[in-house]
Amino acid sequence: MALALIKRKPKAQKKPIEKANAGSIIVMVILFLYSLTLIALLLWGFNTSFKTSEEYKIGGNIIGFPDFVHSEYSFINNYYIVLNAFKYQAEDHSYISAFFGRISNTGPEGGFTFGLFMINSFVYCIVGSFARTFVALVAGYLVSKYKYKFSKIIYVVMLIIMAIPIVGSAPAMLKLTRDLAIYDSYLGMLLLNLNFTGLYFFVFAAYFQDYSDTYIEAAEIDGSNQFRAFFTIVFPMASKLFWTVFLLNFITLWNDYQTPLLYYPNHPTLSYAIYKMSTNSVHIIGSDAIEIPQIVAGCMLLVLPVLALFLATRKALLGNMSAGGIKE
Amino acid sequence: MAALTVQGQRKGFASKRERSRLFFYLGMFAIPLIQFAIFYWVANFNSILISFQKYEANTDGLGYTAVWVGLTNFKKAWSILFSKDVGEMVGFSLIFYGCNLFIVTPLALIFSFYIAKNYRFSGFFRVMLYLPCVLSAVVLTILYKYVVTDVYRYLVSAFGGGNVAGLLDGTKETQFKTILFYNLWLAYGTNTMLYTGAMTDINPSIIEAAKVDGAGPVRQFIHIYVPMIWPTLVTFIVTGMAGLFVEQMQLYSFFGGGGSNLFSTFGYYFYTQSVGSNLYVAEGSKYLSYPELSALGVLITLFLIPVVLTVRKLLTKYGPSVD
Repeated sequence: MALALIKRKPKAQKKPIEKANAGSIIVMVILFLYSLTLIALLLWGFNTSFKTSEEYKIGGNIIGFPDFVHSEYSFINNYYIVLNAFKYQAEDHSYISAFFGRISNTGPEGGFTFGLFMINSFVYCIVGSFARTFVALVAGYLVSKYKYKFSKIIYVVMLIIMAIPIVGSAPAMLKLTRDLAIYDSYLGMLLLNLNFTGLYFFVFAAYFQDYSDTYIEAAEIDGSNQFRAFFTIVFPMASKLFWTVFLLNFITLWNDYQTPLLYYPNHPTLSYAIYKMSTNSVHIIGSDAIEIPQIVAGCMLLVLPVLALFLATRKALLGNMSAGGIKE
Repeated sequence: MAALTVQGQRKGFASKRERSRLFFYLGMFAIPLIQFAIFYWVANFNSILISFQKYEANTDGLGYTAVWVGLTNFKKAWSILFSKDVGEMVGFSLIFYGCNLFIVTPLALIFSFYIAKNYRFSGFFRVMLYLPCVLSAVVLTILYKYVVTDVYRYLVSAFGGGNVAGLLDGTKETQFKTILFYNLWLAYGTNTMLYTGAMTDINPSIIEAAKVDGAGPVRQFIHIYVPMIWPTLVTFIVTGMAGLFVEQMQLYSFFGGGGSNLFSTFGYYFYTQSVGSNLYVAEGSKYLSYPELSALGVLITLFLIPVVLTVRKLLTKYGPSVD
């Protein structure tokens, strides 16, 4: 098997804990130290997000606890500032479409605030993840269960696409989105994400290969048409895998700032805004510059929801899939 | 007669079912296939097409006109690709790829073996190793940036080392090493998850047989686990090769497009060019135009395809096998 195919893993019995040996103890110590560095980084960020700018910059309190006693501000002041006064002034991203002429896109008057970042983030992540996951499921199902020659062609084309790296198609893609007048728009977010190429297509294809035809045939005998059988039987049965892939896509899109920066510059997501904040190209109302504790507070606002989501769903996310490619 | 009727009915059902299946197949595949046709084929075909063109601004200020310019863009792309700057960029990516291959991959395999064998705290380590994939790269780079500047300076000063520059503000070499460490430090998520998944798929009877033959964990790891997951490993090694021209090493997250980076990779160069570029750029601009960038992309793809396919073939042919 040349390519490693990803497939859904059946639920395995819980394996007993292996007896320790000298080698495993060394690896355990290394892994503990590794984990500690990650936890320390996050704790440092969390701790710093409660400090005042003066305390951090002038007082030199870089690694100590925040001074809650002498501070004249509330300890959540940085979060309050980010949520209320954090503003990004959009740039003029008007462009000429080959088919639709000049498209004016200057963003909202008065700039973007936290609420708009969140709306854009949720539209981008929920619509994008749903679109990506749904088309991957549909394509995986059709290729596995409809044994037409065309299905085989699609499968091989997907394998080739994954094996051959295409570098530098971004300029042509930008030109295309502008020509189609979907550049920097919610419609563009939807259309660009209706993309079934990639690993998850193979995840669903492998899943449906093991899926019995009996249920669908029974539904057909009961008078269901193909659409009804798909939405009432196939989709609910694959829902666990669907939501696992949805969550993985959601996390990817939540953290992605480069695609919005390139394709949706006047629809900034929270990740994009935090990135802009770190380069000091956003503003705090009534202030000249953004201070480090405020940037770190913004980082925590971006990280905490996804961290909570990951910890709550870690078993599903880390346990449902595996890479095949085992030598037989 | 009765049999004929039943057969006829069955035939009717079968052909109706086939029609219905075909209708469903085409209906459901239509949108994904149209999307694929437009945003993959048309975009990539366009990429090739515009690499032979040049755009000139219309005199009325509305839009651009394409002019065929033959191989002009490719000549420029060729000179860029073989320039000293790009050589240096690819060199940095090559060091990163080498470190990934000889440090991260063996460590990821050992960590995956530890988790697959279910030694103590495996579940916790699995979560911790995957955590960097879950957390935003922007956040991790921002926090790391302040740790290697502010925290580093504070600690050096506290231990009597005086006032020193942050690790990102020093020399090109220090900055590269600092960012290289960051990338290697957080590189275990996806590969550990996939190697672990592949390792837990190995038939337990093979491992039991090895145990009976007296194979300890080290021998099991070298002679069973690594050879058995070789196809997964090959995929990682081969896809990593494209990274020589795509990998940004998170430079955009660290420095944006502002130019405070002291070193660069080709992936970062290409992305910053794409952000600042347009169909037409004025003479003397620091940005290349879309046609020039596309020509550059086409050249690299043409170079990568045979290399990637050959390496894959060699690794698959001469990879280790289970004894």
